[in-house]
Amino acid sequence: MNSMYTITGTVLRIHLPAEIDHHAAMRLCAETDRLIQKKYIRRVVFDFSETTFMDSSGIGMLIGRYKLMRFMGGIVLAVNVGPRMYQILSMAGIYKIIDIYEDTPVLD
Amino acid sequence: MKTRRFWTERSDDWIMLTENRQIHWPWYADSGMGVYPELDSAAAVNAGIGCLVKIRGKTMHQTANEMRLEFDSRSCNESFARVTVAAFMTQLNPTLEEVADVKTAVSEAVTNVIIHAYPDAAGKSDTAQAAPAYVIPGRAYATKGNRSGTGGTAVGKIWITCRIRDSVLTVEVRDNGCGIPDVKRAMEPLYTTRVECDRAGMGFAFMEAFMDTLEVESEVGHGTLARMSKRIVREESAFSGMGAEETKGKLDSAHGGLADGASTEASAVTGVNMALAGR
Repeated sequence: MNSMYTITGTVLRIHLPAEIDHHAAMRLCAETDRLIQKKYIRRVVFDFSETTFMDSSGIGMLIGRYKLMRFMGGIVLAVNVGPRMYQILSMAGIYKIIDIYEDTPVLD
Repeated sequence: MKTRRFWTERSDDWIMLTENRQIHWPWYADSGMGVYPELDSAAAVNAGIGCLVKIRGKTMHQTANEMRLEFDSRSCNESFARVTVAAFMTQLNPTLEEVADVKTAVSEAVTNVIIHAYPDAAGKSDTAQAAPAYVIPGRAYATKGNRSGTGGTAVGKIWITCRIRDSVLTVEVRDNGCGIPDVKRAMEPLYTTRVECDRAGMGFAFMEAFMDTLEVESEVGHGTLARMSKRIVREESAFSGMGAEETKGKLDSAHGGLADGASTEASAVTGVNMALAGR
């Protein structure tokens, strides 16, 4: 479980589980908040490579982390988003506030 | 080709009844009932659900398939609820996408209950039951709904009823919790009463998007019922084992050879004869 979170410099990368429901989202919210506030994080990257299921609890988690990062002057991205996940994210309108990538982008 | 299906009482094999009352025995179904079925009466055949069809003296009737599930209102049960409904709907031969849609809708409905329905119950988001800080052995703790009276706080229940009838899957998620005061407002997208819990307010919107219909009934102090349905139709699911084209050819020739509205028994036997001839 510890390997889900990797911090490289000021980038926090979170490897999301296969199913993100309310139960998983609660745990992710708490741990992500703890890490963001403990370390100096400018970019939060949600890795969807293993995710096949997500409901609106996951959307709420993304929105909550976006609000926190915006307050702290950072950004949130979603990477390795599969077709089904992309459908869910676009249905919720998350693309308006979070950049969604199908693969892993190389950023500075 | 409009068809109706009839389940046998003894086994899960079924016979397929077409509009002009020919009977086609599925390729795998030698259910030990004898060779070929005969229909009791045309009226019974056309009645549809609940009608009685006499097969070789043995009465069979079609019933809607139903299951009911009761479990604690805990977030650790969300995954279980999704998987259970997905398993039940497998008999409709759904696509992966249809299963994912239903699982998402069920997950939303169950999460709604867990978060909102039982505000007094402790431990709704924990895996273990919440217990008082200390327990004096032998003393009974009277808590609401706690039948055993040995401590801890009772957790509410969720009931899921799934029904399959005529290729339509209906899922009802019910609780007897606090109820929704304004259902119309609650179903508005982005409206939530729990902003502090990172709720997007899109639960009902997702349910409506992924299912064909959604109805919500609620009474404050009594509980809430969310009823959703989805139509899942697979034309060739009955004969998927044999190869759709091969079987279809046989059935078409059976159709062509028999007159419409001819005597039921004769057509049935001949039709099945022809259908099985190539086996």
